[in-house]
Amino acid sequence: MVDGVFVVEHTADLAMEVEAESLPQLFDRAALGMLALIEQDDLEAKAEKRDRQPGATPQQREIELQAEDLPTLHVRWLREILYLHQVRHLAYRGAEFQVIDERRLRARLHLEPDAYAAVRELKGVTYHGLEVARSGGGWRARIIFDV
Amino acid sequence: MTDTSAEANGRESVTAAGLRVERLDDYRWIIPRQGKMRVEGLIYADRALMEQIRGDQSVQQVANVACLPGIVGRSIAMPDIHWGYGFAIGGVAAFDPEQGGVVSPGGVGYDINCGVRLLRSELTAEEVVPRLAALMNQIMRDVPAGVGAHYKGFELSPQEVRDVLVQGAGWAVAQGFGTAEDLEHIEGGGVLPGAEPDLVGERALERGRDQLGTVGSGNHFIEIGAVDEIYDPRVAEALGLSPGTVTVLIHSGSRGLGYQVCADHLDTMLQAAAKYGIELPDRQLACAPLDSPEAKSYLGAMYAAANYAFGNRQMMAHRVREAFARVFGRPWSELGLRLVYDVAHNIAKWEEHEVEGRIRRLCVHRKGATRAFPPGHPELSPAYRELGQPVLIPGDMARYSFVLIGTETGYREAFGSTCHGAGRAMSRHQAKKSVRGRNLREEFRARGLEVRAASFATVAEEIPEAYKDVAAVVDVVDRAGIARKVARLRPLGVLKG
Repeated sequence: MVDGVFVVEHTADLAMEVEAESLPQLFDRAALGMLALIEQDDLEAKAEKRDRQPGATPQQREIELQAEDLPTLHVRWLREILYLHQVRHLAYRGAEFQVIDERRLRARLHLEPDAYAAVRELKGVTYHGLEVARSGGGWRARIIFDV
Repeated sequence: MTDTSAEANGRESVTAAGLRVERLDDYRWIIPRQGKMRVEGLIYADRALMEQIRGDQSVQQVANVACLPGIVGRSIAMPDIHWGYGFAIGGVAAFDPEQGGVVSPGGVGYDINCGVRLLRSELTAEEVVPRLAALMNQIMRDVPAGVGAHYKGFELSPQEVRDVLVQGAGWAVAQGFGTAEDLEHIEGGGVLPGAEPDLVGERALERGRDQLGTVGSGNHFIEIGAVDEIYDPRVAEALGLSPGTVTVLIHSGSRGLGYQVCADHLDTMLQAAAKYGIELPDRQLACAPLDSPEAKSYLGAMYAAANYAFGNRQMMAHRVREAFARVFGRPWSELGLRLVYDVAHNIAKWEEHEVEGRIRRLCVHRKGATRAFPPGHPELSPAYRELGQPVLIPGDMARYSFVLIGTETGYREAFGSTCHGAGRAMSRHQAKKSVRGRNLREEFRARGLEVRAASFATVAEEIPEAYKDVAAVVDVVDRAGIARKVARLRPLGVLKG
């Protein structure tokens, strides 16, 4: 799994908790964690080193999102990353966040044509049990996906 | 049961998710109104199932739904209830627009009109088993399955996607993928009137172009089976099911198009809930009053996605029929591959029901629950008006599935609804852990089951023991009288995503 990302037991669906030192790191780890849920067969295994596939040209894409609060912003962010993966077949590998606060996000995404067979289909990023908040000196998120 | 206690009213009760749940009879439990609940909750379960149900948050979710504006009757849960998001999976709730009733995408889910379709044949298990491997291979070649499964070379134009959204299964039949008779054997004729393709977003339309006729992944499947037990010979005969009859069960929904419609409209519904001052016990229960523009917009888009799902199952059934024809060297019509029925189990629909002595037009949400209308219901097609509506309940991938029929009790008590499946007992993670070191292919072969899968990682998460025993679920609805058992199907071959 990804650093700072933990799979939480849920009978019917999939849930993850994310811990980070900063808001950009929280969003980055959540996106990488979600990709791991889609791509990794064994969620307990350490994240595999992802060498770029020959011929796969990395892409960059600007993204700008707004929301009324931080949890909603977080759901919209993950939804965009999920859309890019499911429909455009572009896998999130990182981002530079130019602006990120509780209601707004602007970032340059680093994407790779998806070279790994997805093992799971996430139907949606849900609002159920959603938590995105400060925790100690850092940030914490809990997200449940419909599988 | 450790904390069972007798209450002042004499009813035995248990605690679940901090709520008191009272035992009404052998198969019914009541969540009395407490906190902000507007109506009481009703859970169909026996003692053993209630023990499992208490272990997760689903009882709380039944109570949450009971808090929504305009809910009438009871917030109902079927015996396969388990923890979902928003509604519990296995939840039924009806809302009256005249009492400020709402519609909620959380009561339908991402996979809009996920459902099940059953075909029967004139073939017997003895005839099919020797050619089962070839049949499963052919189905696997012809019907794309797996994560993001799509057709190469069968892509719809944007206009064709819109036509499917309006016409549902009828679109596929008009293109030659099925017969007019098929449409008589689908819930609502395979189309929901009132679909509004203009309210379906660009992304959803894009996702619909190459996924019509695909299985998808997760718990979706195509299963070749055979009737191995009959409980109601009269109804079974009318449905064309006799011992040994080979059947095809198809479980899938509206694919990426439906997921996108749900996601797009959830945000609108969250804003609407704030606008209309609706207090939400869970944000996934975002909703809007049925007479609001936001609700009308969601219903129009949701019906469009539901029609896509009817079209999807129609296309898959056609491909499966063709696969049978190829393997057995005879046209599928000669093999008697007739459609028995096709039911939705994730949907919200307008229906008429009697509540407190008055017939009302209600928006009935079924999230992981199946419509089960009784004999004589005017909405049933002539094919089943006298018999009642067939109900299709898939089990896990190795044990059995069931065919039931709707009853008057289910209509009166549960808005004409019943259960939808087995319900998970293990998380995907637990399931995967439990198969470590096992050879699943060998295990299935030893059980006489031909399994084909786009990914065996999915199969590991879908092993039979990850699910409750569907027989226990079906026995509860049968004994409670909200649907009646007709026949049991034993799987022979399964295609998983």
